Amino acid sequence: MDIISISKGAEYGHSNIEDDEYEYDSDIDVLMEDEQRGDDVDRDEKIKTSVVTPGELVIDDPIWMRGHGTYFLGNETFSSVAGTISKVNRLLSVKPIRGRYEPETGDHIVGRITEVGQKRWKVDIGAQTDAVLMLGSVNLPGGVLRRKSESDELQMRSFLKEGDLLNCEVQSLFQDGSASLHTRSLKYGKLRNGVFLKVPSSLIVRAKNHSHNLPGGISVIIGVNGYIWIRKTPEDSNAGNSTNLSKNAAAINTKGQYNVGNASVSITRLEEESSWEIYSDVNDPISRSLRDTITRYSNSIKALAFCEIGISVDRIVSAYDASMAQVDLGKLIDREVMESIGAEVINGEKYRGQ
Amino acid sequence: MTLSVAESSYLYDSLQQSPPIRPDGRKINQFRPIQTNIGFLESTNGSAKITLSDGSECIVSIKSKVVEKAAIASGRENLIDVDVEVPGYRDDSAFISNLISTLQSIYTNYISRESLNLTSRFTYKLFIDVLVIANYSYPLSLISFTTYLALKNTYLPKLISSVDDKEIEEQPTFHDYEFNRLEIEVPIIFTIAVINNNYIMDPNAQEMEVSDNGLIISWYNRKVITPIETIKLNEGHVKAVKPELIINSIDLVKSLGDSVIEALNKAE
Repeated sequence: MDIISISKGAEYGHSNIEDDEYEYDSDIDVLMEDEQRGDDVDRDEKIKTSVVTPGELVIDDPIWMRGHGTYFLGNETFSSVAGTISKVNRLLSVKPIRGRYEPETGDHIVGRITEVGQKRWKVDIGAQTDAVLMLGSVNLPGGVLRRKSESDELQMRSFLKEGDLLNCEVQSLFQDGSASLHTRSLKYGKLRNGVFLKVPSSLIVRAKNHSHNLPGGISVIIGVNGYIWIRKTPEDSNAGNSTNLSKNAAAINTKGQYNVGNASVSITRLEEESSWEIYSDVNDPISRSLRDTITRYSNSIKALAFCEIGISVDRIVSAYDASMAQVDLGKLIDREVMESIGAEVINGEKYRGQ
Repeated sequence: MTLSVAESSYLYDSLQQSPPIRPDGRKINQFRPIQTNIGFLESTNGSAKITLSDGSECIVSIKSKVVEKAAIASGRENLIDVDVEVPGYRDDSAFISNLISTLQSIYTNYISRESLNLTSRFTYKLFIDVLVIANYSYPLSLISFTTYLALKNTYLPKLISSVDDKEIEEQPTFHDYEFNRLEIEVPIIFTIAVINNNYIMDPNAQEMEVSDNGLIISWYNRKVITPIETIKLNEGHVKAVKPELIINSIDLVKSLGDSVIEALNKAE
């Protein structure tokens, strides 16, 4: 039995670059396949459309405005980061492949409280600065129309304290790019009954909905900032809607879960549901098999991240299915196994023509 | 690393089941996968790097110096000097001095003097420089594995002058380009976390955070050796270790010490 798996580290120098090219590649190339067809250059604009590296010439036409991730010498614009080129009207910028998360209004994210302050919490969301969660932007026990009083200010730590994980949305951005968050919906709030894991935020595929039920009685919240929470599906979650656990149903669920009608129902339920329960720290009883399933999902997501494959709910499910080839959960952290899971997910998509 | 209350109670509950469910699905005796690089520092006698799957990284370099045996016997110089650098910790902090003294004493006690012997008056002295580039869990195991690889792949200059210089004083002279491989047995150190009635090998950051206590157990020449001691793996939340768990942990190390050594010897 393998108790320790040792592989040789990457060689320094050129061989490494070649390796990267022929081993199956990051997802970015897959996504950009259409644009890349033919040659690398957009004929009208004479701009490279592929991935650029730091110091690479992007364009020598001074007509473009230089955005983030670029610098210029004379008329020539160079990339200052490794990433993909984005053009908005005449603004040219390079989006880095790696780097810190940049919050945008409306992003559904997962964060961790780092500090409790005057009427506000500081939240680590993996961005350059901690985000702010105002006391006024959370649901407090007692319902939606309740006034925040001084006693609420004094007992802020009993709602959320340092280290707590929460599920929230970016409400607005400040001048310096830091975010202000809110949890004013029953979808959001403190997280329980599961495990946390972190992946690079650039791997998260933005979708309409970032909270999903998965086969096996598990739910996942894929924060746009790369923070992921995997938990046991809450019992009352969308009781009327569907908590169907088969694979096909998961896909339907993805589309149908969050709609206007549903939201309006939850506002009327707010009063009864937002009791102290929503700030509870106690986990529900979770069976051994559910814990195993959670671990398997977490390892599947890590395998996707290891292979630099963009993370979406469909891919998580197919990585999970691919991981079933290994009965032994501990095997899933081996390089070869993670690579084979990644290859299987990509191949599966190719066969289905996605 | 701070965990939320719900998170740590989930982890603790999972880890105290029997058998424990570890957050990454490992068995109790399974290590995290490692990547190795050996002999990449040209100006040293031996070097190695280990990268763990969580991004922890450690580089060890071995340098040698010719010293008089009299200096070592009189205590003016150590036969082996260990220096450890970990980002985020001051050189004079308790954490660093503990690591250094543990490593210094284990290597001084178990690396044989004969293997470093040159002539009747001179001997090699080894400098083991450890640089932990990133660490997310207790680094002692990582350091000792890396040092194992570095010492096993250390090449010292070949002596061409006479070995016996007792009667006639002579400075040792060395071959221009030939080296001898250092043939020694090197001790390694295992880290084990104790959670309720369970014990797990090579805990990661999350497991450390919820563990009741930690143990280090050393292994040399197919035997368990000292130091065997408890270590603090997290701030607060430390409970006593049941004696039978120490026995069990030692048995665990006995059962896998050989295969770890074998795996490390195969690394290239």
